[in-house]
Amino acid sequence: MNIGPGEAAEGIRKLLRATIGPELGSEQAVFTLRRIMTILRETNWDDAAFALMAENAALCTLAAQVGSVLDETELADGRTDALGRWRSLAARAEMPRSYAEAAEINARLRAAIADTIAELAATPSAAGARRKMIGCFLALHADA
Amino acid sequence: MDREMAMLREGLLAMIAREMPDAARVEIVAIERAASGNSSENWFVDVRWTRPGSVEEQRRLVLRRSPANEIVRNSRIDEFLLLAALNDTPLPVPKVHWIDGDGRWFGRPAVVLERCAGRDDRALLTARNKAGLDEPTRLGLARDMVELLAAIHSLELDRLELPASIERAEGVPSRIELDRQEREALADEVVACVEMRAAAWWLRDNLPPPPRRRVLVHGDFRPANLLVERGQVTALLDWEFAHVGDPAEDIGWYLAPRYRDEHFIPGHWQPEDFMDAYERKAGLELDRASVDWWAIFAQYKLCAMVLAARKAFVEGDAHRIPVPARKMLHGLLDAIDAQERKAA
Repeated sequence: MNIGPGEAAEGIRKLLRATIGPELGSEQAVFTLRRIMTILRETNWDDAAFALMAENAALCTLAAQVGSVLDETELADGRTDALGRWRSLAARAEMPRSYAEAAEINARLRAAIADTIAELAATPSAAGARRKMIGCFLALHADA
Repeated sequence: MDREMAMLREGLLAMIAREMPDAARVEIVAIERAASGNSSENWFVDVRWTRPGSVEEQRRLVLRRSPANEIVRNSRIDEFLLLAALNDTPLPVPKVHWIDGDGRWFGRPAVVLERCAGRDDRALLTARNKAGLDEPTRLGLARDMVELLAAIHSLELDRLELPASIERAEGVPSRIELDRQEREALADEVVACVEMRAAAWWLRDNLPPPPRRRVLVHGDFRPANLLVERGQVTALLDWEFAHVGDPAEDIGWYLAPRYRDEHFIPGHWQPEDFMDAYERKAGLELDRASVDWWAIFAQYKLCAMVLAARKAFVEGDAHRIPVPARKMLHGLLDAIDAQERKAA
């Protein structure tokens, strides 16, 4: 059985600390090695794909929540395309076939949300939506 | 690295030959990349030469070169001109020597500065500080920092010859800085960062009013950018964010959520102590709501820098190892949420 991504990263980190670190001659090299080791430690190697899928699911939930706020918000005609695009991605977000596809859906979701934010930012009566979106983003980060 | 060093050595010799034509037997005694400086590459250089009359001189210099992927977009020329202007003030800033504005000698724009005594330490005010400073010494340093910040903000701008980009346009500083930072954040997006978009939206909706007086803002005022020797501040470094603006910006930067753990001494030096001491020294009354806004803006700016580093890393600049953005973005949204609750 192959080693998992997290196990590989941890092994590399130990090698760097025990073997490469003591051989380094310059402060800059030591500084850079420490940063590399931090990245190896802090990156979620094993669950990156699941975390991305969870984030996509949360972004889709956010679309539904913001949609309910938008119903109460006066938007100029034709300004709800972005929200529609955002919602339409929900089905694809459920079962991506690869990490790359999940990342692509994430990018599309984020682009649609960004456009929605731009629409709402141009709408003075959308203060409630803003508050709600920030709350939803907070929940998204807290859960991740 | 050897080729890089050889190029820098050659560049330095050529620069010195031009800037100091009467110097003979110029010798680069040592050159080493310093383990600091996220927005510049810093190289420590020891140089020796002989002036007319057989006077031998040795200089400890710092070569600050723009990185291949510039995250901070102020130019080296402006930093050089600002430091040159500040060399005529009592502020502890490194003396500037020479500039390579177009990268003809060092491949990229660079400035050569005097290397000041002392060491930098991000944990200076904490019990983890590298020099083992005791609490009373650290408290003294915290107070010295306030005095230094007040001295910067007390400079008479009319008497300083500042580059145009540091002067900034007339207008409300919070709007000017947000516009500028938002433009940069958008340019550095790999995918749409909706957290940043929402934060910018909030910041724009809550802009603080202009200050009573515009001052020189350091832009990165914190313990990490001080040099300290034997418990005394010897230099304030890293002026690449400096500009004319709202004094509350430097206060907010110091108070940014990202830095809270490093900038205070529990039980002795809290944010209110810092602000009270500043008001006494600077003779300015701080609008606390403005400070809160600038602290959130600081977090926004820090997130933008992390995302810029991420983009540079993804594009192949191995020197730009980004810290994870998620925690930083959470800190930003959390600060906005807390502010909204406070307002409600």
